[in-house]
Amino acid sequence: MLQAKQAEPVQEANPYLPQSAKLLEIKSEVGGPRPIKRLKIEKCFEYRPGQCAMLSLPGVGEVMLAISSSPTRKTMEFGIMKAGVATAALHGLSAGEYLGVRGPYGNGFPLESWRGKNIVLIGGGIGITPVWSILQYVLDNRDQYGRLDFIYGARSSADLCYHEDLEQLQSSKELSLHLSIDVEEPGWQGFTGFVPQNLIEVSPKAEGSVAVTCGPPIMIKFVIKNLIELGFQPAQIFTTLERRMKCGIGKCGRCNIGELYVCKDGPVFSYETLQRYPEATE
Amino acid sequence: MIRYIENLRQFLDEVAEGYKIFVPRQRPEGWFFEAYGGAEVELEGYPNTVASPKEYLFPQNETLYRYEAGEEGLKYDNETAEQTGQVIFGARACDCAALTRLDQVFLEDDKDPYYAARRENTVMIGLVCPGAVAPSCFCTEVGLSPAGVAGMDLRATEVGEGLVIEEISDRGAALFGSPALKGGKSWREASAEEAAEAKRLQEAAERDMAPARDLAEIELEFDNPIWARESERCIGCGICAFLCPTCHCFTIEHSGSKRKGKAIRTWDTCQFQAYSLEASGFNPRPDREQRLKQRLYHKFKYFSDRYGMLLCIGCGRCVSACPVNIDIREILASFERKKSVTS
Repeated sequence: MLQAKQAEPVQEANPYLPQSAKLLEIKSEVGGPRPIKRLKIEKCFEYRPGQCAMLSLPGVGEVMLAISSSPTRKTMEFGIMKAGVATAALHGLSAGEYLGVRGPYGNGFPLESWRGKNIVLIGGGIGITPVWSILQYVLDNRDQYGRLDFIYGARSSADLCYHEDLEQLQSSKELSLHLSIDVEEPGWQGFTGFVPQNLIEVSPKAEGSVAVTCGPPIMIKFVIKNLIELGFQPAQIFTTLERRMKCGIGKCGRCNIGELYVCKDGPVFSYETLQRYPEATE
Repeated sequence: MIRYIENLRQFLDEVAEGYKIFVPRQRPEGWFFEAYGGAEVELEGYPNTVASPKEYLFPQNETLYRYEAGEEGLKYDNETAEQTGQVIFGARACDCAALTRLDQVFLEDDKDPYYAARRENTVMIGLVCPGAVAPSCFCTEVGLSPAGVAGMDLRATEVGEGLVIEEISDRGAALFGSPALKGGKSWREASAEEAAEAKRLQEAAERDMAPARDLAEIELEFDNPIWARESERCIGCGICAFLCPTCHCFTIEHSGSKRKGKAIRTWDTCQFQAYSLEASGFNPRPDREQRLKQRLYHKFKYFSDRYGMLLCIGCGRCVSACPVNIDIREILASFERKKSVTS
């Protein structure tokens, strides 16, 4: 705890300096060739749903990740797919070990301006992580928002992240959960097909709603297309973008889309904004 | 006050009592900034340096922090930038103006403490160009001047055998207020004639480079065959970015073991394929065409959309150093021609 207290003023002066955080829990969510683990750490700073943090391991390097927990919860969580050197090293950690954390970065979701609205969350695979922070936030502030729909899918039932929580949420009256898998499986109770198709199946009403989507680029593309078909305006549709990042504060240059930096001006963008950037929608 | 320095070496010796000094010197392969060291500074035939003085404010490699892993967690030690004052003598107007661009990036919110400390401790003594000093010069086509003061703390103009020195910033004035120079013997107040001659030379330099076009006015087109055509011969070496006084992109890497080591910041460039390559395999700019386009869009549109100024200062280094003769002026001009045809 002493570490965290000391780190605060230093970080204010130096935005590149991580602080030490203890790994409280590490849990395997998805196995196979593209495994996903869920990491729970001490809460290092205040943040907004949708913001990111730079996690690091000494001698390995840093990786920017969406914070998947809501700031209304006591700890910080990350859903991490093993993809590169840093995520592989994070997968190898055990509870009680330490990692470096700096942040928060980016704009986050404009949840204050969504008060009173219906929230439609649409996620695919590891794309669950940023929308999970909204899900938790809305559940923790349930009376401030309207209807909550969570449309989530993966390749197979084994690829669904946060499945234990999803099972609990199945019976919840606080939200409507609409799960899907891409190909048929014996015993599967939910929708079979791609997430954009499930969106049409659910057909949330556009009036008084905002939709947030995160997942593979091809999924996002068709989700947005279908949302427009359902009558959603570009300003009602939000997504979060990923780019390679090194600094997190709009200086290292690599995460730009037009004059915007995903690390600083994003990662949350409305489709209305993204339409102006050919690089983002290609 | 406008001052006159008759003997540059005497002046630099006085400055050296309180500051580190870097001056342009000629080597067989071109002019480079070097530590002063007391030897005569010969400005005869000085065009501009091969590399700009950017590295004295934003080094090619620097340690950001040191880390150490222990039982109680990870310990991070801030690496503070050196506090010794430094003077860059003889930087050209374009290279001084480049610092006003780097200032936007590194001093806006989320201030970069390393750059900020160096900038605060650096006095830029700019040297007015006699006119275009190389065929690749084009500062006036990007709205700058060979005698411009942007980014300078003091402006030096070669008059007679000496230099007329004008105060541009408080930092520049403070140099003459420092103990070694306050009662210094190396300078006196310039005469009205000397000051007038400096002004005349500055205006003559500007006239010599009267711009034929304004590259800030050119509208790039995202979907245009020009990009494929121009990038076809690009070999992706990145020399354009590494010699560019305004390119500021970097990477941060760890060096050391899992127990002890440091985080190092190193210049990087959008011209490299791995620069934007993500761990998933996705790359938003997978081809040289997109990477060349990114570089020009950043310099001539994105940066000005964000900060209200071009990220090009017209020094021409990318033009003269490119091994395959890619000339950004020509790329930009080809859009201008297209515009005049369509309008």
